[in-house]
Amino acid sequence: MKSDPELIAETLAGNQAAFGQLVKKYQDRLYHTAVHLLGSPEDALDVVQETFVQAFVKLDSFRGSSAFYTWLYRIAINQSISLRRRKRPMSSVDQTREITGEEPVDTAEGPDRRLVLQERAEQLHAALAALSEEHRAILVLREMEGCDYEEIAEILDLPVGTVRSRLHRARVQLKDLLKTVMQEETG
Amino acid sequence: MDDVRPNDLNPEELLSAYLDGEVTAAERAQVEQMLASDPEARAALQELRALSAALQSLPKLSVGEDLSERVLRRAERAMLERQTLEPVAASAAEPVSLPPKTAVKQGETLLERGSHGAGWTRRLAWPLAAVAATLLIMLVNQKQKPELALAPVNVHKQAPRAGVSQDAVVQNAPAEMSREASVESSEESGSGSDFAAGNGQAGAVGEEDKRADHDRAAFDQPAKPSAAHSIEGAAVERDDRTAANSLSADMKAARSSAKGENDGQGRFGTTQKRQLQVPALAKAEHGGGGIGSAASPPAAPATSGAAVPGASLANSPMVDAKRARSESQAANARLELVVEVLGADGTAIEHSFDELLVKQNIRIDDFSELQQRKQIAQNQLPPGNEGAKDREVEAQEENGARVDAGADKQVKSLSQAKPGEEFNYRDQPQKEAEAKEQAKNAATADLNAGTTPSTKPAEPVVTRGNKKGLGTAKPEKAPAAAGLAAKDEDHLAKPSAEEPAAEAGENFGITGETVSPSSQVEVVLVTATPAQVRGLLQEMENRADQYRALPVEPATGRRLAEDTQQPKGAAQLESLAANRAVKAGPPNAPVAPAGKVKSQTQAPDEASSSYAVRWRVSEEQLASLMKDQSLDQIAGLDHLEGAASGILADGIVRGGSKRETDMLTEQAASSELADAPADATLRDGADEGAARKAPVEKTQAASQPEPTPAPAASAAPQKASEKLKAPLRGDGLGGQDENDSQADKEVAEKVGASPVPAENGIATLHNAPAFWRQQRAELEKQLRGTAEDQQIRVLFVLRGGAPSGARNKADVAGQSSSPAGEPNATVPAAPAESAPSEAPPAKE
Repeated sequence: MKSDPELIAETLAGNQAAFGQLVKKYQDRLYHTAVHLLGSPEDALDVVQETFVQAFVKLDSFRGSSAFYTWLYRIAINQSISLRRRKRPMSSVDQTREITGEEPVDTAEGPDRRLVLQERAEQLHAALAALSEEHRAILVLREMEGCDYEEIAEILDLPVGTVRSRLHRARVQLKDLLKTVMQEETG
Repeated sequence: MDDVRPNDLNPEELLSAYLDGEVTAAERAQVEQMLASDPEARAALQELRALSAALQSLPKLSVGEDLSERVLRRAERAMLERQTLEPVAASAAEPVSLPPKTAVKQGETLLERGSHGAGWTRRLAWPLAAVAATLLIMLVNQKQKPELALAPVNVHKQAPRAGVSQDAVVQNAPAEMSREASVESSEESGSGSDFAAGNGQAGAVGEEDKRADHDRAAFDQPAKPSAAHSIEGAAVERDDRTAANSLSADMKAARSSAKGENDGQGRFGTTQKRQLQVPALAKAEHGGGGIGSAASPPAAPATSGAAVPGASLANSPMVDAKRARSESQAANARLELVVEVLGADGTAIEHSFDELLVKQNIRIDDFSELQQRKQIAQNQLPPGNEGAKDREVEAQEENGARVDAGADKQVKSLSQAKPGEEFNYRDQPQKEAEAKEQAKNAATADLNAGTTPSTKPAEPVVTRGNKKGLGTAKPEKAPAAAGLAAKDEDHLAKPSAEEPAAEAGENFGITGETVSPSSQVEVVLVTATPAQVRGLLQEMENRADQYRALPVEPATGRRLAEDTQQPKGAAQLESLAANRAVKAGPPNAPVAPAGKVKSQTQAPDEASSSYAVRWRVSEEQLASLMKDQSLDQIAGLDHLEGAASGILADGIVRGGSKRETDMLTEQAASSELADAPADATLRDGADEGAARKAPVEKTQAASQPEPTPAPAASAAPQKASEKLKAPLRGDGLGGQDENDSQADKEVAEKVGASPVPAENGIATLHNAPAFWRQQRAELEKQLRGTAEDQQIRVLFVLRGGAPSGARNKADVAGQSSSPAGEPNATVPAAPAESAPSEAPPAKE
């Protein structure tokens, strides 16, 4: 498997298949993030595709100073935020169910437990959707994508200190929104 | 502002960072000390951990498919767009340097060559810019042509509008071509929009996600360059127009398919794509393959003209070309006259008028069927229902029954039939009769039991049409129909007090109104050549004369129907023969009514572009149409097409809703058409804008106190809209003199029908023959100024049955501006043209 810089170089040399490999490599991660940012699988798919298109078009401007996926995420986050700003915030049980899908969270659990987890996932999605865009983005990047503060700062174009404080506030807000869930979890 | 200094960190924030491992050694020590001493801090950290765990426990989502192909396709298109348009946008702001002289390698694609750092964009900048500019000019010209045509012209000549012919060509093109062109154009326009939004960051547009195109426009980029603005605008316009063209093509396809024509490879059946997109439509076809016969050869030429109307003619390119020309003319044709015809009942008059149309080589397109096919084409009807019509028609053909394209039956069959369930509308009248019988029996039983019979009539078993019937059992609706019905809920007309609710439960097709059979009105918009219109009117007059020649039954004052004067056996034989002839024809072919006129019926020439579109309205709707002058708006083919697509149909067909009328009025007001001169008259060569502005004026006027109607003699110069409205309002257009009025009154009295309130004032062939003559003279004047190959539009209002409470209600709802001295028109009983054996005279 070639590294990102190699694939990028091949793409810039005219080998579009190399970019196809980059797409395959990051499409799911990007999609996962976009779904949680946007709350809509359809919108997320649009954003993912458009992100890759934009990346391809602007690939010559990528300097390689950061990781490719960080750069990719930056495009995706910007697009997601733009898209979401243009839409009314919406969240429903059906929607969150759609997001969570039929996929079992934990196959080792019994049906009751899975139901609880499913319900919790729906609550989480609803709570995430209720957050502000900035807080949601930073939480998704941190908790779901596992980005460190530096990466988050780069993706969101923020100082690291801001990332830390904003992340904290995002957590507090989410915790408030999920008070009952958290109580069960900690209790 | 989120910027904080390290010493501003509060303990909880430190905890959060500690949880993420994003603290310095000093901070770590501080936090650990805090955790050791503070239980609350430990609890807070535990909560944060739980939160983090909960978020991380969410299932990982994946796209589920490989996006690379799609992305690369879009990327390639985006690159092309970018390379094409970037220089155009940049040229306004930057000094242009000549591109270096490097050649593109032979066989090298844009993508393979890559755009990154190669600098080839500059080499192609000017050629591509030139191409782009040419395209833009073409686009803008195409858009402007119809507007230019709005300039005052001689409407009597009805010169084709610029741009119409082009649209007609598109209409006449194979449907899949138009559809594909639409998709491509949409993509291109989306790309343009994308580029315009993107500071040169062009993004390709995938055909799957039109929404993303718009979303992309909001990508947080700097302000759009002006050049890009224009590109975007042009692209959007082009998109709209192409969509309209595609719609037109669909309409035409529906029209053609409604006649059961098999165009084989010539029109619809050439590509699998089309077939796949419209599976239901393919299924719904009859008459030899229909549009879905992708691999089937063109139909053999019809050997029986009467039975298979011109099935193979459409394959001829010459015919297509002729039709294209005619269609372009048809698009120009305009409403010139509103005619009302009275019949014994709706069915009889419909049959009779069908026959007249066919005789004049005017094919009949059913409005609701167009709408229905549109829904099918858009997959709005549930899978399985599309087969219902097939089965229905097959069953009818099998039994030699008349195949009717009537709105109620078809729409009902599609909306009510469940997947896999055979539906036959012929069973429904029986069911309704059974329901009525049951109610009657119940009432009788109540009486026998000494109890008070229920005054509530039996609810009909079936609600016709795709709308919810008032006071009826709610049928299980198809999703599309349900959606429409939901929109209709607040527009449902209440049945009149005079009509039993059981009858009022009849719901006629697309109207969404609850009307009784006695109050149904069929509205037929005929687009035909002057000769055809003349022939139509002449035939109607002839038949009216025949009707008047019938003896009057002294007891009832009604005309004795023909079947009372003819041996029934002969009529029945002829009827049987007519049905047999029809059986072999396509399902939607006009059908000759039983009786002696059968032999005169001939198949319409498919090459003829003259056609009639019809739909049903209630009296109230009709009155509202007249009142709000929506007739002006339905005069446009564009509107009908919009209606067929379900966009504007509600506003027009229901007509009585003020909200929707206002909506349409606003649309008209906001359109450039509203800016056309308003004071021009049709006769003086007004442009179409005048006629289209009429509803706006009318609505504005309607918001003010109703002025006292001017006497007929003083109403000489009238606006176009008033002219259109006049015959319906009975305001004496054209100076109907006392003699004529008296003649009308005498005739009305002679036929012995109950009087129609003067407020209604609708001129008919029967109740106001003098006025009819006047109208015809007016029409003749206009026809004389119309080339024979041009087309004119006439709206015929076919009123079946006797005036009822519904009519009275319509009168109340409608205009009451009949001038003093207007004769009280009367409504006769069955005219001669009604099929006597099938249509006994209606009760007054």
